[in-house]
Amino acid sequence: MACIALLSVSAPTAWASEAQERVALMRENARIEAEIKLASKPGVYFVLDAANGKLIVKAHGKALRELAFPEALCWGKDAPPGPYTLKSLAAMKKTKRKEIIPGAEESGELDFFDVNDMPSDFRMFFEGGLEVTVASSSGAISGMAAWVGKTLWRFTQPFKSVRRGGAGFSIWLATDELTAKSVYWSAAPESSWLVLLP
Amino acid sequence: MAALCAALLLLKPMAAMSEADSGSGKPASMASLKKKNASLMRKLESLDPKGTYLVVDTASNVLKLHKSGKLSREARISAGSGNVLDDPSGDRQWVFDTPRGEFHIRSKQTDPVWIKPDWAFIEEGQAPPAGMKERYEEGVLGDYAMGFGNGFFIHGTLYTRLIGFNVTHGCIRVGDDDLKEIFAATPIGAKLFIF
Repeated sequence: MACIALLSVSAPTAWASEAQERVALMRENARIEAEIKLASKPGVYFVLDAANGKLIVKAHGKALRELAFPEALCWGKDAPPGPYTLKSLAAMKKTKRKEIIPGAEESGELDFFDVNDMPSDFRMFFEGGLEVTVASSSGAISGMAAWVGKTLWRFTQPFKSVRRGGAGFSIWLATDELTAKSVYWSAAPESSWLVLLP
Repeated sequence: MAALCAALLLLKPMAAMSEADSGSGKPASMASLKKKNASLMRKLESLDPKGTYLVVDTASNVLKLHKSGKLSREARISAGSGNVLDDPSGDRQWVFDTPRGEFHIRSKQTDPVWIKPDWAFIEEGQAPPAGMKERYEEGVLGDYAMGFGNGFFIHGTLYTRLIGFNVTHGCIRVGDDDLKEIFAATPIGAKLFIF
């Protein structure tokens, strides 16, 4: 009786573990299939691994650069890995390019538009209702602002979800200022992304 | 014993039903999933860029030379300034960004001569010349140049102290030592990824 009792307790645990492994493998296969679609075409694409807090810039399956996000939150229904097209970016800080005046004397100072001119707090909107918020959390003031932003994000997600009719999902990412700016710099509208949820 | 078998039958199918394979409705076996996983991994790996290729990161102004799947050299570079120039005639506008995406090396030249485009004259407040002779300028592109399309090149520079900053008109400037090695190692047709 004791053996039967043990069997009846351990068997469900073993099956649950196998079931989880199956689901993980199916998700992994779906991820690779989606990536093959992008890797088969010329160009650079992005893999946002929200589960592991990473953004990887890739081409033909090869990682070109990896950026880390120490904090990642997700909200919404589970969704396929993609690909998703980035439609637009929005930020409070506006970027401004320098206009060259023909024939003007050079001031001697370097004046150019680079990653340091990018916003470090912004949102990215993808087709299919995916929204990604990036916040920088370096330093005391930014860190506090990021905490406030994260709290507000959490509070507003249920309402946004209802407004979307339950479709789509949102991701909130926090990282240091330079990494956040590098993402804004690199993420171009109409670029292709895979998104891996936890 | 009968009760235990019934319990076993009840538990396993319920877990399996939630993992039905797409299309057939039947649960996929672990063996078939693993086999599919291995096949997909092989397919993805087969798409890896082969041979020699270049990667340019315009956010950090770095160029990486990869040979046979390994990083061979890393060089600081200068990418496009992002500045905007409007043609006073009102017809044209130039935005001096380095283009992004996938390209390939189309040409290689030693001791390249710069053929100044219209914007180079307009920027200086001059009218573009009608003839080609006035457009040639030697010595400003360094010892080597590699073209990747639409008038964009990876080339050398006189302004080596500015390497690492976004100061070009879209081309990629590389220091002399790095450029010599990269030029020697990169064949025509090699892929170039810019992001």
